[in-house]
Parts: sequence; C-alpha cells; structure tokens
Amino acid sequence: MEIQETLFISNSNNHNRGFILKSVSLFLLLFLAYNFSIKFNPPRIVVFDNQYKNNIATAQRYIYDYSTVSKVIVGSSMSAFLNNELLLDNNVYNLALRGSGPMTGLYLIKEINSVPEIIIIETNAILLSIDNEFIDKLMSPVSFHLQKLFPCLRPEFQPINIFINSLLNLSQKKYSLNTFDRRRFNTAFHHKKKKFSKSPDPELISKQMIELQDKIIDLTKMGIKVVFFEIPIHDELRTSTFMNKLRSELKMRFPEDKYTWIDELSILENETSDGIHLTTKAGNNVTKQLLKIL
Amino acid sequence: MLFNSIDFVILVLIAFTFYYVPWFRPYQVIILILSSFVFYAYNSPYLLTLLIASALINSLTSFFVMYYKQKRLFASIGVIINLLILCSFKYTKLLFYTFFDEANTVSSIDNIITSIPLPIGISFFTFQGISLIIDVFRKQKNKQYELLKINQKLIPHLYKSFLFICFFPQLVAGPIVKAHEFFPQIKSKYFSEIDLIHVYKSLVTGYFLKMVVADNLKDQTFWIAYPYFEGLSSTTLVTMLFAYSMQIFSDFAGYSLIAIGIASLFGYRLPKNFNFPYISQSFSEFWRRWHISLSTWLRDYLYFPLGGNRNGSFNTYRNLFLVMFLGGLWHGAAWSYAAWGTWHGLALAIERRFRSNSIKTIDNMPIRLLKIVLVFSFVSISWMFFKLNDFSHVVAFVFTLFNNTDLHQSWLKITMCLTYSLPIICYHLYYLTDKNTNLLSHKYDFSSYSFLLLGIVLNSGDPGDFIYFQF
Repeated sequence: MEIQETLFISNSNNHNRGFILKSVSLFLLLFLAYNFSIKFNPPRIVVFDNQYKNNIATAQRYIYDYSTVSKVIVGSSMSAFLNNELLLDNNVYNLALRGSGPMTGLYLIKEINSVPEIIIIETNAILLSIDNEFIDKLMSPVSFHLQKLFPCLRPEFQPINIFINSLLNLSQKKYSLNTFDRRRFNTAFHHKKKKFSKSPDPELISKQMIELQDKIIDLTKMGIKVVFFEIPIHDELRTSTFMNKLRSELKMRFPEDKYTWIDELSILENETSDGIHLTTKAGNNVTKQLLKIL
Repeated sequence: MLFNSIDFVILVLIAFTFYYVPWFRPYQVIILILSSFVFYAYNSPYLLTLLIASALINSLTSFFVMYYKQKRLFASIGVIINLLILCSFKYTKLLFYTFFDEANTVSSIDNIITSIPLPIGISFFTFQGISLIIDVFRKQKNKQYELLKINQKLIPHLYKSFLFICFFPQLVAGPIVKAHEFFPQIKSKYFSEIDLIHVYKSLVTGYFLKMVVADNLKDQTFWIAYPYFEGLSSTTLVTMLFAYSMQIFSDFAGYSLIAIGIASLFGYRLPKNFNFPYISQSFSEFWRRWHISLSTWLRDYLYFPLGGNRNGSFNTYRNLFLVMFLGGLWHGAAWSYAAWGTWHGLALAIERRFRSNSIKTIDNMPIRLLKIVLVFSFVSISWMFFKLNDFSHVVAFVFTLFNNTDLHQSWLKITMCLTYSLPIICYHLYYLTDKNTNLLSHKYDFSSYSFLLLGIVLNSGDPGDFIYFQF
C-alpha cells in the first residue's frame, strides 16, 4: 500500500532518522532555556484566559510561594474579585477558587500541612462541595514535583499567558476585570433571582455543615483562628430565601458568641456585575473594609 | 481512556513491547485485539460484550456471505442487525420522546428508556462492520476488492475481522476504515518497517492540535452555552463561533492524526481524514476534505446504492438530502444533528442546481477568497447545532447575535480565541497560497516539530474529552 500523505506532514525524501533526534534535542534546549528564564525572572501574571488556569495558578502560588502567609481567605468566585495585591501587601493570601468554594480551599490548606494564623471563610458558597478532581490534578505526585522542579510547567507561566499579559502591560491599560453594564446585569440578575428564590436542599446543608464543623475542629486544634464573612451582594439576593436560610443555618451552628463573624461589609446597588460578583471598583472597596476590620 | 492520559501511554508501551518481540510475532493480531479490549473496557467493562457481539456478528456474517449460497440474504441480515443494534442503543430515547410526551410517560418506562447506555464508538464500529459485510458481498463482482482475501477457515477470519473492527487507535472516533483497505495489511509486522518519522510527525501534530489548540479553545467556547451567551456582545459571540470551528477541527483532526500515528507504530496505515477543509470553495469540496472517511463511507455504502446521480435530478437531490440527513443523525441522537445534516444537504443540492445550469463563473483570487469565506461562514454557522443541542437555545443564540451589538466587547475572550485559532489559520493560509513553496526549507523542518512539542509541554489546556467521542 502506498504511503499516504497526512495532514500537516510533509514527506520529504531527504529526511532521515536524525530528524527525530534533532527535533527532540532542540525542544530540550528551548525547554531548559524557557525554564531558566521563568525561574530567575518570573513574569507578573495578572490575567488568565480561563477559570481553570486561574484556579490552578491561585492554588499553586499558595502552595509554592505563599504557604507561610499568616492570613488566608478561602472562598469562591465571589471572593476572587477582592484586590489580591492589596491583600498580599497586608499579609493576606486570597485562596478564592472560581467555580469552586471555600471547602476546596480548606481541604487544600490541610493537604499541604499549612498552618496560617487566621483563615477567613467566605460563607456565600459554603454549600459547594470539595472539588476532588481539581485537588487530584493539583496534588498528583508526579506533576506536583515536576512543577516544583520546573516552574515553567505551571499553567500560570504558559507562553500564551505571558504573551497576553505582556500585551496588557504594553498597552499600559489597567485591565478592569469586571464592570457594571446594565444590559448584562439585567440578563444575569434575572437568572440569579430565580436560583436564589429557592431554599437550599436541607440534606445538602446538613451534610456540608457537618463537614465544615469537622474541618473547623481540626483547624482549631492546630491553633488556627477561624473568621466567617459574607461577601456583600445585591440587596435583593442578600435577603433572598436562599441566603436567609443559609445564614440562619450557619449562625445556628457557628454562633457569634463562639466564632468571629464579619458582618459589616457593604456595597452600593450597582457594584456587582450580575448581582453576586463584585465589580473591580467594589472589590477594592470591600478589600479595604475587610482589611480595616482584620 | 483518553489518548492524552498516562494510562493510554502505558497501554501502548506494553502492547508495543510484546508486539515486536520476535517470540510473540505469530500472536501480533491477538495482542492488538486484547489491547483493544482493554482500551474499550477501561471505562465501561460491561459494554465490551456489545463490542465483542458486534465483531462476532460481522465476522460470521461476512464469512457466510463469502462461502455460502444466499449471499444477498446473509448480507442483508448482517446489515439489518448492525443497524438495529445502532438504532436501539443510540436512537431509542430520541424516537420515544419525539412521539411520547416525557411528562406523561409512566416512570417505569421512563427509567428503562433513560437507562439505555450509549456505548462509546458505536457509530464507528457499526459502520466498519457494515463495510466488512458489503465489501465481501461486492468482492465477487468488483475488482477493487481483489486484495480483500477472506480466509477459508473460520477462526483465522474471526481474528482478522475482530482486529479490523476493534483496532483500538480508530475504534471510538475513527478514521472509519473500509474492509478492503485494512484486510490486505493484516500480516506479520517488523520493527524495522516502522516509519518512525511518520509516527513522530503524526503524533506531535495530533497532540498539538488536541492539547494546545482544541483544549484551550474549549475553555473559551464554553461561554457559547446557554444562558452564558446572553451576556456577551455580538462581536464576542461571532469570534467564539469562529473559534468553535477551529476547535472542532483541531479536536477531530488531532484525534485522527494521533490514531494514524499510533496505527503506524503497529504497521497499519489508516486513511487520511482531513485535508485543509476550511479552504474549500464549495460545499462538495468541503465534504471531500472534512471527515473524509465518513463522507466516502456514505458515498460508497449509501449514496451510490441509492442511485447516486444516475437517475435524474429529482432522485439526485433526494439522495443528497437523505444521505446528509442520515449523516447528520449519525453524529448524535438529537434532531439538531439531523438539522445540521439537512442544512448541509440543502447547500449541496442548491450548489448542484447552480452548477448544472452551467453558469460561467469568474475564477480569480478575489472570487476564490469570497467563495472560501462564504463556505466557511456557512459551515461555522452550522456548528451551532453541534454546540447547542436544544433548538430553542439555537434560536436564542441567533437572536442574541443580532441583539447584543451595543454591549461591551470581551476583549480577553476575543484575543484568546484568535490567538489559539492562529495555528489553524496560518496553516490553511500556507496551503492556500502556494503548496509548492515551503516557508521553511526541509533542512529546518525538524525545528517546527520542536516548537510543536514545546507547545504541547508548556501550553496545553485542561484535558477534555474528544468531541467526536460523543458520537
């Protein structure tokens, strides 16, 4: 049967077995050079092209670079819009994971045997279960150690990511992640209202509360102080059936006389993009409020 | 078992090692069959029985067709059984809920219907089974199938048939191989015969398309899903639809190349499945360049037997529509896929009508480019039916496309979509400008693969299932 040409493959008669060796050798050279440049001159990455990479980077930065920080916030995408740089300047690491929740963050802290002084738990997304798939990918032994040895393998330092962030730096535009847009807000808020109008599943609440209680007992035994806070959201959603029920369950199991609660955070009406996610401006304000209280 | 998983790599390494040890040479076919069973059973062991049953039915039927009288009867029975298996596993739910209201269905019946599994790759191995039966049936009268030799003893024929149907590189997502192409290749294989450069190039390019382009684009086009698209600007949505075209191509072409590369490792040549489809200047050309193994299968086993274009215009258009309708439905058990197929059928029929009027068209570069843009746009729009299975979501998407012209652009999403689409755009442009002019001399060809390899290691996206696995 004659040799068939396949897509992207050129079948030059001049190729020989040295082809593979040359190709792989050049690859290794480029890889080592890239790793060297990342290790000794790591670029500043602010923006990620997708949620998965954002979460991986957030978690890996904590694991490899910031695990000794004294205060850690665990939360969901709602906490992700706080001002991370301002928090870090005040020795607070924001371990908020988008699409995931504080339970995953708590699990991660325990997995790497980190012992911060204070853990600040966002309660809005407390019902989200631990993202075991995410943890498995993150903590898989081979990739964990490889990425420690070769930081260029971390999704944060992917070439396209670096390229995009360089473009943003060159344009000298401060990249605003989240703004208020009336049309977009109305569309998204409509869906959120529907979701928040229902009371949370009692079985789910019970299961998550028990799990949270166990985690907090473990943390307290290690000498870690736990602080609860609720990210301020649109008033209509804050006083919805869902949030009222969740809040009352939490306060019943973790009463204010035994646990520290931060209740004073607030925003104005148009300071979320969809009812629950803070605009960048609001994120800065809430961060300052939080730091003042902490 | 994903092609980019460590489990798959281990499976290939073990199979490869045993395969080329001289002592095991007589058992090469069995090694591949067993590896294929492991590959298929990995996620759903109980569905392996279906694969074995399908292979057995096709092996026996093709043997009877070859050596018994009543060849037509056996061939018909074999094809009907294949189609019954495919329809019962794949289309029962669709047909049932089309004619019966889900809300009024008795829960016990509903439970039975929803519990029917969709075996991975059923569309592919069923078509290969049908190909085996029909090729053997046609062998008597068609010189094209001279090389298709059916063993006179049943057991050796069973082994060859099982290998043909279950061969793991192409088992779950093609390329669809025809029996008369594959059977002549079944013989002892030697390590020295492996075209290592071909294997290397296929695998590197395939994994680059899948892991760097498709997996990264997947995270951008995720937002085409309902209701997320409602908050995006028209420009962002158009860009994402364009990116989805790139994604589906990269995903599928990448998979096909990986399958071709791995098959080459074991000494088997699989057919080319893609040939720069997005530079097509007509819809018929598109179908000669996209999923070539499926379009040639439909041509050889459905279109031609229906009469092709030999029985007048009306029958030609009817055949085109029917083939594309069924081809669309083959992709998935949802009417949106049938709509997609019909959409293409309509385009082919209209194109044929205009062509038959012998309208003279101007042929220069701008016209060619215009044709390419028109065909590409049409094809990209049709991918909406793939991405949004629900008709109401397709309608909502189109409405949003025209309505959200005044929303702010999502520049990050747009930039990412265009950046990850760039490799596909560049290579199609390179092919388009001058096939004979190499941008890189062959002397430095190796370096392009170094960069592809670097991309795979440094810039892969979050692994996702191959899109065509769902078919």
